[in-house]
Parts: sequence; structure tokens; C-alpha cells
Amino acid sequence: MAYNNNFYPQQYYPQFYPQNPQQMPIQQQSQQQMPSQTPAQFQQPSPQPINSGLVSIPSEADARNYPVGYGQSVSFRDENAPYLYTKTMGFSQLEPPKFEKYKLIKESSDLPVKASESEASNKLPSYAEKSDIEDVRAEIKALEEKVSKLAEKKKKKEVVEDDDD
Amino acid sequence: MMIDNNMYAMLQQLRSNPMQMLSKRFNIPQNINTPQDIIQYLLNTNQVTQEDVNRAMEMRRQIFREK
Repeated sequence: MAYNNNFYPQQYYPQFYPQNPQQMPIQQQSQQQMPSQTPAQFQQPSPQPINSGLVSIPSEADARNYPVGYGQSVSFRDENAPYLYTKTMGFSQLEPPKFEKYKLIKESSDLPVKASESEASNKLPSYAEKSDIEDVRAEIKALEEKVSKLAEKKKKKEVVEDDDD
Repeated sequence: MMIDNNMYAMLQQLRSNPMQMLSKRFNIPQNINTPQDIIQYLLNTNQVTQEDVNRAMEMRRQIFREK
């Protein structure tokens, strides 16, 4: 593998490599060559807990006293109570921190989703459509005509009987 | 491993008076001496990030829980 005149392989420190090169011993500093790559790439990652976005705290007072930087917002989960908190700091010391408290309510999982939906639909009133109303009107009109015809026939019959008398 | 004299002196100072050493290192004023206030000061001066604080608090919580 050929090396360029300006490239030197970087020394590898598996255990310790400080962020600040000024803290390193002088002998190590003189021996080390600085390529364009940053030394942080060769750091072994320290075991970190997985950050789920929620900070667990034992009580509301701990959430209120939790240090939060300006313009930052941190969410908390109460370990001993069903609450979530959020603390938001403003962008200056003049703005007081904003603290919100949310209660967690567990929904009942006894009813399945489909049954609850049918119940909801049954509760709605049933309305007739316009076509149904028009049909009823037509029936009423036909009945009225029949009744009027019958009434005319009856009148004619009575007149004829009176004439015979 | 050869330890520089300066580093040795720093270690000695850290052992004898860690708070003074940290205050010097991070330019913390003398009137700020509680851990909560120190962390808030470091956050306000952007010397640490909110993620750093959250990680440190989580580690502290786990350590005290294990005890």
C-alpha cells in the first residue's frame, strides 16, 4: 500500500483518547501526526443508556427542579404516579420556566373496537330520505282522489233517488 | 505509562479540593456551589448540552438505584 507524502497512518489508542489534545502528555503529542480526520472517530463508544426522550424521575418536585437549558424542553415520566411532566425554559432569565402536568388515563380494553363502533352507530337517530317522503305524498294524493270520486258518486246517487221520489 | 508533572499536580489538586478544581476548569463563579446551580450554570453558558445533562442524571439515578 503506497502512502502519499502528506499522509501518515494515525496512531490508535484503544482505551483512552482525550477530547482536548492539550491534556495529553507532551511526548505523545510530538509523536502523533494529525491527518485531516478527527481523532473522535477512533474513540470507543462508552455504554450509554438508550434515550427514549423521556426522563424518569421519582416525583414532581424532581421534575420542577431539573436543570433545563435556555430554549430547551424536557419531558419527564413519573415513576411513582401516572403523570407526565414537561418543563420548558424560555430564551432569557426574565421568562419563567413553563411547567405542564399531564395525567395518564388507561383506556378500558374490555370492549372490542368493532362493537363500540356499532353501538355508536345505533345511538344515532334514523332519518327518512327525501325519496321516501315523496312516495308517501304520492300515496296520500291517490287516496284523496279516490275519496273525492267516491263522494261524487254518492252525491249523484242521492240526487237520482230524490228525483225518483 | 509516563505521567507528566503537570498532570500529577492536577490530580493532586483534584483529590484535595475537587470543587475548586472544577470551578477553575469551567470558570464557575465562587457564589455557585450547589450541584443543581453548577449544572444550570454550565447549561446557561453552553459548556454542556441538555443531552449531556440528561445522560449524566440517568447514570446517577441508576448508580443510586443499584446501591
